[in-house]
Amino acid sequence: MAVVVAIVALFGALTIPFPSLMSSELQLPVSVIAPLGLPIVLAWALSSSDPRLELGTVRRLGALDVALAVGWCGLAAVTAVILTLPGSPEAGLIAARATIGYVGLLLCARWVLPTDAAAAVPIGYVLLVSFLAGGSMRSAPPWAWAIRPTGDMASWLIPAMLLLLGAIVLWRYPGGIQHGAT
Amino acid sequence: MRIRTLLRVAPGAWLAPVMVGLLVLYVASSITFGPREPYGLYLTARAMNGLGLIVPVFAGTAAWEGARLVRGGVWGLPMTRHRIAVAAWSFLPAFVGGLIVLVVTTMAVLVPQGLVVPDMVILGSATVILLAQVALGFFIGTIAPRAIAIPVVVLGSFMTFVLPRVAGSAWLRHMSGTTLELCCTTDQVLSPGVVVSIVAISAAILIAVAILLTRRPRMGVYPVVFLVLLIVASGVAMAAAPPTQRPYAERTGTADVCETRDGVTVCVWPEHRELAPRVSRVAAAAVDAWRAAGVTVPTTFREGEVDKSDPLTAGISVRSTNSRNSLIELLAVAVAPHFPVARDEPTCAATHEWRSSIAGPYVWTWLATEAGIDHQSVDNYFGGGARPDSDYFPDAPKSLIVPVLPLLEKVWELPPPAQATWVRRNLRALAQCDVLPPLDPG
Repeated sequence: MAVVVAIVALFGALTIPFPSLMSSELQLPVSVIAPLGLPIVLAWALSSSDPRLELGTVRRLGALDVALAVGWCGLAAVTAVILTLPGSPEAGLIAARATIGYVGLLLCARWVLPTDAAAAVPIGYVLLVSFLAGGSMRSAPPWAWAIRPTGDMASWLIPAMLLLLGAIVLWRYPGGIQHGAT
Repeated sequence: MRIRTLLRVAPGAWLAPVMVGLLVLYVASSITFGPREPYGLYLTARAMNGLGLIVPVFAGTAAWEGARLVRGGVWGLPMTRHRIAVAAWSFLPAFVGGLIVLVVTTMAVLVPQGLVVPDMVILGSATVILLAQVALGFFIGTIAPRAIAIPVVVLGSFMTFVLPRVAGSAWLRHMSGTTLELCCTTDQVLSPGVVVSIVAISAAILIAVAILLTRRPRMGVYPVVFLVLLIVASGVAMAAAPPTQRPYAERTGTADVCETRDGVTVCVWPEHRELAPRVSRVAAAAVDAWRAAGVTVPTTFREGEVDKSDPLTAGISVRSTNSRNSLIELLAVAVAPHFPVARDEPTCAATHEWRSSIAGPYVWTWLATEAGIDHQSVDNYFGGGARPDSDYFPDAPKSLIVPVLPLLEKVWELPPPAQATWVRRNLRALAQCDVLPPLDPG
């Protein structure tokens, strides 16, 4: 988390050209890309649990997992916003929103995918945005909330809903969906 | 493992059809931004735009395979087959899936342009890059937790394609093959150094992966092996294709599709066969206008290598996107070569400072105007004056701009025979390099 926040604080406003179907390329800020590190590490943490053993525990591990995911995500988002306030506050807000949305996507994806494969979903989402969201961030459709202007309320509502839904999934199925040994 | 089993369990095999659709759409849309010429090398290079998606996705599936062997406990068992053979069978579906997507994407670019043969050197280079990154993905899958290995491989591999466009790091460009995308207009070929560099970096990755898969040293040794091999390979790559060097070389050979009209011959590359009638029509009209004004000009305009000692032949490079105006510009440059737009410098420029090149903009403007170029184009080029080239005029201040049109106004006021004499003298000066051109019409 420290590395991600440091990258956002130092380079968050820089843009990187990504491939796009709608124009030759789409310039995505680092503050959209760097938060992808958080769901990756969170997926690792969640996948290292032993679901069978945890099913028999008396402590409410589901609630603790939710607290871990949401608390961690919130801490990263707030730190990113605070650290970027003096330089590029827009980058901090973009990173905060992306963190909430990506963690939400990861938690939702655990409904259908093994936890250790679910981290590929936020990455797939960013690639999809790069390909299909159009040539500029301003004209991006609502589903590409990660790159919409930060003043757009819907672009905050969707990631918040994803996080809420993901938290419910995590609480209900703390061990994630059970798969074979594939 | 049986092929049926491989296809059933390998995500690389499942992802291939999805990727084909996405990549064909992407590459087809990206190619609309460049010229559409049936040149196999150029079209194959454009298809490599898709490499930045193919490689990360299939490297990610290879990481999945590696992680699955570890998770199943197979990777830690004693093996009768060599570990590299076991690994190769495991990441084969990812590699083959990527290769199929690469070939289909390339064909999707080539087929609409007619029967164009893909460039096997570019395809081969891309295959080597795919193999190296898939193998690296597999290796990372065997050492890192699956939850981290797959996203890190996908994202890391993707970044090797994206970052060179921002940071311009040479070895990253060679690792990911983004250099290939810069190749090549019809009068260029891929520089052999680029291929050597790509193969060197990819070979270093493959050797490192092979060593580490076989020996299984302590974790701390991994980065050392990679670092040593990458430093050696980077040295080879830098020597073969220095970062400052262009990734393409001049195409050798002579254009042999010729069309003659009113005594003027235009020869173009086979890929420009359809352009030959239009170019020859414009060339015949331009030469006719110059002759009528009393200026002797070449009667053959040729793409490719040109015999510089033959005063009746000049070099041109046409594009499918050339308008009549831009064709006149090309022909005028061919007659009055001047830096930086000249395709060929005079032979003397190899040994002398080409100081007479300052006459180029004036003679070029006179010739182009005589051949019927519109005034807007002339204005666009030299309305604000010309900047002396620093290679030939190192002492000239960078801010110096020489006015072109005011002097030409004086030339145009002369009677036609005097104008022709002024042009002839300056053309002679242009070919002699170290003389000062007689620009003053008085």
